[in-house]
Amino acid sequence: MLKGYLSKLESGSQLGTDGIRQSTYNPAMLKRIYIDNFRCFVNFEYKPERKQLLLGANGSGKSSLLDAVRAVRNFVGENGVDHVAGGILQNSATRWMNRPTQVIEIEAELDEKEYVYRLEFQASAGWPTVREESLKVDGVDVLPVPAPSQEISYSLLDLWKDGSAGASTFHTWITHDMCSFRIDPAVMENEGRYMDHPYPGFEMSDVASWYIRQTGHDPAGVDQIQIILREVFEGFSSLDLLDVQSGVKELRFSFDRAHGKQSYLLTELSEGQRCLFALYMVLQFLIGKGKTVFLDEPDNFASLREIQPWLLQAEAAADDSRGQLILISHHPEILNMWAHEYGMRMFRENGGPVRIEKYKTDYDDLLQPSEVVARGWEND
Amino acid sequence: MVIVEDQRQRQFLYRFLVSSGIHPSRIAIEQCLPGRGSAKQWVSNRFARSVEACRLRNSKAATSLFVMMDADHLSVSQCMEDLDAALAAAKQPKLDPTVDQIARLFPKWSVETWVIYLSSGGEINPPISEDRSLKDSKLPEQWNEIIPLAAENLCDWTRSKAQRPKNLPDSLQRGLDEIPRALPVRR
Repeated sequence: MLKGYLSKLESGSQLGTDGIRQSTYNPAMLKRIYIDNFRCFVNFEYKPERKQLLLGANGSGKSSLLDAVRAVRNFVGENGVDHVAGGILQNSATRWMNRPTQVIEIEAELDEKEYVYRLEFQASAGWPTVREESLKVDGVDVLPVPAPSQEISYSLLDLWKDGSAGASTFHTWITHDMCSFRIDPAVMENEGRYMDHPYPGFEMSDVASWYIRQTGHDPAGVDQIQIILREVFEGFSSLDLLDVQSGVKELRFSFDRAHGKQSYLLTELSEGQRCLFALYMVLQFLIGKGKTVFLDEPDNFASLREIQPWLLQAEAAADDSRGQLILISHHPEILNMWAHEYGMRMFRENGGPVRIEKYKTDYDDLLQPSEVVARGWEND
Repeated sequence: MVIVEDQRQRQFLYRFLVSSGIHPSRIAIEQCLPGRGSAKQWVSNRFARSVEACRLRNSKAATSLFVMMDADHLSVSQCMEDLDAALAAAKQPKLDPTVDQIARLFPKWSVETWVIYLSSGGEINPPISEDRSLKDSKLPEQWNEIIPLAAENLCDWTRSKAQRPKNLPDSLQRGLDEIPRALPVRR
């Protein structure tokens, strides 16, 4: 058995003189998302807590919320409208509206300061152009204002990130400390090479590259991943990197089997195993480090028995690191454990705009949230 | 297996078990609905069914059961009797500490009382009272801050030669006596 297992997850916290656990990270937090005239979002506002479960029927806007956040993150991080941001924002104005201006705002608390980032763009059948981009720190504008007639498709924040401490802090946070994933084991690649970015892409196809990166940046965390996998995968013995060609390595998962040691490529694992590997990587290197993490249906490929241990560890890691974990899920285990305390229900009335409210139903004394949702009664 | 009434019990007991060396993948938690006054009944019912399941499974694999229920205005003995009655109602034999790996924990007034006491390391003045609720004495974030320390201290105090404070709340003392039934004593 593993002694003090959780303490080995680098917790990001330590005891203060008053016996209260103090975070060693700056408690960064996404405080508000505002979206207007984007897909089914009209004048939509969401104020996330540190732990949150977003639930709702298909088509209620859960994944689109992630897309809006991704679009902003990519717009800022890739210096303008790249293929991700462009693809998401293209032809994305709300169908039943006839307004040219689309708005996404992101508010965060960083270093005990309030940051309000606003991106206003021109609705378009093609890639959009930016009408306004601003960042306020405690109410003070920190980005330059372009000439009124200037049509731009790049990010002022990205250009100006070294121009002020506030711009730099927010740029770093939105590009490095806030991340979202919809894990897809089908697209994961065996081979990887060192990557600069501190976390992988949205579907984690480059999880192997991420692992390679972490072997240099966080060897203790990589050791911990191996310890975790020994408990999670029956017979697992080690995870190794083998040189394939210059600068390219492949992941090899070794298992002790009755007929001897067997080694498997990442893609030779089951989809559920690949997904669990990715989930524990996210737990170890992001949730446990105080990042703001969105996970869209983390349970898609995991079995019923596998998801609760991950969820319990993720909750503890988010508490310890003062991170932020926002899950989108229909999974019964996640619903039952999180819906009452952290649940936010997204819904649309008669196909209208997305609304969001705290999860609460008339059946809370009688039925588990998974039972309520299975019956569709959460919309009563 | 772990049966708890609410989120705070879940967080505390989970941390305690992990600190005690139980790997998270070996912990399965059942938590009551946040109902109005029905939690004790729910825990009692789940307890009786879980005891039966553990006894059945123990022939295949050692399975421990932790059950936690806030005593509130009841005494620890009354809570024990309630669970005994639930077992009898389910036509299950009484607990046999030589066979059943089951720990029954009844913090009084509630788990928050234990958390405050444990997180102080037992150095709390004036002595903590078990006769009133401390549930609302801290903000949710503050509970999140002190639960890990409380769980670690409980883990330390369950060791075989642990130095425990002399002013332990009665319900905690009885809880410490129960824990070895489900968790092997560590050095």
